[in-house]
Amino acid sequence: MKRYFKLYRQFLKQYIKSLIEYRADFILGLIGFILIQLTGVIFIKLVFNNIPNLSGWNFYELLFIYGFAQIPRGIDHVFTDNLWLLSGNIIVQGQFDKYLIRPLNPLFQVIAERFQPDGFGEIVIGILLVTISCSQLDINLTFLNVIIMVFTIICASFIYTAIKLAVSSIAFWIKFAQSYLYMTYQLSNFAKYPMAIYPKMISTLLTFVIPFAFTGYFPGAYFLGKTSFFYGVMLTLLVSVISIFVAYFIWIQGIKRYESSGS
Amino acid sequence: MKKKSQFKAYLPFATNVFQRLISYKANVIIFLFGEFMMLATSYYLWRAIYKSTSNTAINGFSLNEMIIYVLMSFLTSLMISVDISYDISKEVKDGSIAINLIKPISYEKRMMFQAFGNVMYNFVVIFILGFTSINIVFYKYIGSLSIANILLYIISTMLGILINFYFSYTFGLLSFKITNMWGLSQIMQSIVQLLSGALIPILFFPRIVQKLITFLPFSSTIYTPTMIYLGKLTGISLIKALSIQIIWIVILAVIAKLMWNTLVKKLTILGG
Repeated sequence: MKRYFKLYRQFLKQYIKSLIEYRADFILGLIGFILIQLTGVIFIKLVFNNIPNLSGWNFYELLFIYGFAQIPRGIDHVFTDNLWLLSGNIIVQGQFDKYLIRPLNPLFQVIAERFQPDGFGEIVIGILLVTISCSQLDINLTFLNVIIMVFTIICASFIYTAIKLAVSSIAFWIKFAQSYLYMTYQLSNFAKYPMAIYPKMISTLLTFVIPFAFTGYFPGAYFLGKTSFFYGVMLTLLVSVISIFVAYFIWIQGIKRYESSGS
Repeated sequence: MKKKSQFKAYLPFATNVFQRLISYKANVIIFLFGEFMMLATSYYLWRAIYKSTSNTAINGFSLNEMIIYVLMSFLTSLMISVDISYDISKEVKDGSIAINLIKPISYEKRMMFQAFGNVMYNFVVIFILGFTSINIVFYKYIGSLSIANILLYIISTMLGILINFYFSYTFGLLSFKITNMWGLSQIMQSIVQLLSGALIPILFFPRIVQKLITFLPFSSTIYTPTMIYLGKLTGISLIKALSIQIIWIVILAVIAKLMWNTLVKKLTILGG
């Protein structure tokens, strides 16, 4: 375990070096992602100019969930972006072999290989929105609450990673799975708004099958006092543990099945 | 006669792109499913929005009209989309542009034909089915279809395709100078999303912002055709909107020429 931490630090150091080298790239990417998130906020604002509340949620409550959902999304984006490449070209081009011959956990290698600072754009916007809406809504940010919030954000990030891992592992079977990953990832958009606005089928899907509801809506609703501790925190933890296990299982099965498509 | 032989010379660029895209059809359809998720989110969101107000119309849109707006603006954005700026920046990056510049063909024309192949692909794979479905929805919701509006929509969309082509082309030319186009294209994408009407009808913006947006090229690509289809642009405002589209084609074409002339002299090619 210690060895892995040390190695990750080494990987990270290399990234930071290249980051400094391509500083303009980094800044442009960051601004890009902040702007994309901002368009979503502008959309909500323009809509709320015309309605007092949305299914019982006021502007700042919606902003809170929206912002909260961005933080785990951004964290996952920063650390596990290589999964996108895994589902894209890594297996197609037979590049996966190299992870198998090194004396390190292949999943660790895949994840450590890439660090995507663009995700900080989402994290920054998320924190900003959560802070603004907290102050407008008089949410009492006690020490305990902040601890719980950080905890649920970590759980939610793992849910993101688990979903991405499970779907990109399909590539072991079908070689190119990026389109499937894209499709699944788009489902996360549902988690930015209250589940009550969706029909039963969609909210069930997002709660029990592809549990994006726990990356934003459920924990967010807990802090707004709209759902219980059980749903908002305990279930988020439980779901994140289960999804990581399931995803890792699929990944292992995939590696067993992997055959190089080398050239 | 010369025109005809020129057309023949460039046509393979279009068919080439068309065939390349067709061969990825299965993947594209799954990607499209991802986009449908987005559409479903906005559908339920708008339904909840209209349920939350006692008014039957928001900014002049009834719920049914809004759903048609969402569908139609989405279809239009798929129809006009071309990968030209990506193609150009890729050629600059891998150095293949050097060879393409030596060839005795116009770069702009070549790109235009590539875009044409792209648009034809959009038309065959996405538009025919999508447009038919939306017309059926429109008929079910509104009770009648206006042939005039459909025809005007098609004309306006064609103008939108040209605007989008020149915009994408000039944006792509920036890669002659800027090496990181990815970040810049993310920024551009979010601006286009907001100002083209793809995210929300421009009528939702404050009046002064609306005025500004109508004079930018973005709303001419998606918002104008969609509003024409919905029959919300008639008479003087219709003529004005179409004129703005034509003016933007001319302006962007001129900018493209100017940019080409200055940038091609300063082009730095990496590798190759």
